Amino acid sequence: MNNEPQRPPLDDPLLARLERLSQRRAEAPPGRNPPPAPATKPRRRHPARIARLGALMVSCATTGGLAYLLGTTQTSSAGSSSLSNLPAPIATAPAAAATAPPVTTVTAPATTAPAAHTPASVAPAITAPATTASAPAPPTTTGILAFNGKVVNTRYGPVQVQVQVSSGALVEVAVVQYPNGDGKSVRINERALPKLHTEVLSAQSANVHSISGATYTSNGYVTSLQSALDQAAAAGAAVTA
Amino acid sequence: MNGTAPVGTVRVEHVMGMVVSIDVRDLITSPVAAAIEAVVAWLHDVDSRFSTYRNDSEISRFGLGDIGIDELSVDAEEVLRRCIELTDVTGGTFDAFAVPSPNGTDLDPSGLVKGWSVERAAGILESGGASNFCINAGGDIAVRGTSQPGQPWRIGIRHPDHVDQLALVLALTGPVAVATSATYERGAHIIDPATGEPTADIASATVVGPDLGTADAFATAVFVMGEAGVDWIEDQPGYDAYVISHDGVTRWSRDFPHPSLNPTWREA
Repeated sequence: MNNEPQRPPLDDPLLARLERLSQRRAEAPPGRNPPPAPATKPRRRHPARIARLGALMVSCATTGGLAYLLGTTQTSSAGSSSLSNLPAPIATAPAAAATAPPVTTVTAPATTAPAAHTPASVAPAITAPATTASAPAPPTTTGILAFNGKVVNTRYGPVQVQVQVSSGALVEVAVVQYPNGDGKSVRINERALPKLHTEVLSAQSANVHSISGATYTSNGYVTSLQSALDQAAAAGAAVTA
Repeated sequence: MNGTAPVGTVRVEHVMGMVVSIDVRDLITSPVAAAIEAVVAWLHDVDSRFSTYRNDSEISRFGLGDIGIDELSVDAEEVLRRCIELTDVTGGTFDAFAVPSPNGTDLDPSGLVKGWSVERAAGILESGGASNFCINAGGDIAVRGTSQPGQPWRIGIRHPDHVDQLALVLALTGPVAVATSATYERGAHIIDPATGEPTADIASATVVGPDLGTADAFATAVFVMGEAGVDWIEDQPGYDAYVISHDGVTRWSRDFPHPSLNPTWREA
């Protein structure tokens, strides 16, 4: 009773959906199904806002580590909590962030380099950038390494960020190239950093490895940030065993 | 035997309209390096076949009626059939056949494709000999092994309102997947299939579980369900959810690896 020569039987759910799709195509007046505006044309944001957003996104890694260290005040075993005790967003104070002087030095403690995943027959690898011989920082127990992200061409112009790593932990994020002015270095997140530095001193693994969130697109500041973080990780990991 | 192989590498690729970061912490032997390249090629292949932003992709041609079921590739058919299964499991809150697609049709399996393709990518890396890595595809994450011997991966969940904050940091040892659905990056793009309208009863939904494709679809489903999604997911073996309301209240399911409750959740 099936006139179709094709494999799928009539009760095949995929076939049923295919037919529904074609019905809706036939019924739909032209333009009935325009893609939602955000899907194809992300709302235009002010360049300063997007730069700020991206910069602050990076600092997720820093404040996130902080949040992790401090955030275990949740003691209830019930599955609910409130986020309201988190610090205010930096985005409310962009002017202060933009005019803050750059950090020039941070002292990091001597730390044991975390071991890499190596077979037992291979000598332990050094993965903390601050202690690698090939790193451009003094091979002492103190020092910050800076890694520039790739320059990303956003719709507003080229954007580049820099992350600074000390003893394997992220301590600073800076914008080194804005769409409107090359080489401009701006500190962000000044409020969180002093606290973060304290935490870095007491626990050098305050950083996070990866961030889960709503899907971000590749045309944005976040890209540049991710690129910088990844470069830092790569530099830390690129030491031969 | 590979005393000169570098330890670890990070590969960042712009593909599928997002950034995919492949962070491998093993010795980068030549098979592992080749596997990373194979993953990159795979993701671009998926993009060309499954993108709903290209009218010439296999999925778009299928949705537009240019090709039939028997012309679908094995991969495409697998994805579409899994989408249907997930629609059944989620009570219709995830429905790849009833949401507006960029190609103008009502077919958009992207909510599964990303996670599905990243799970495949993880398999490619494993077959190349890697066992400790983290693949982050635009905020959805597949984790294997540890970040360092004995050290879990620390996965932050972004605060939905404050771009400079995390809501939570999970300590996870693979294999495990983390997917988050929210509207703060791309606007109100999550459609409730029941109404055909954008929905945002809650600010963010994160799902943790064994498979990133399923976790991705479940995150969308939980986002559409709102806080009730936390109760719904209790009946999905292996999967747990964490939701954040618009006023900053968080809820999570029984076995969600909340750091204050169980920091060593699912140690491999």
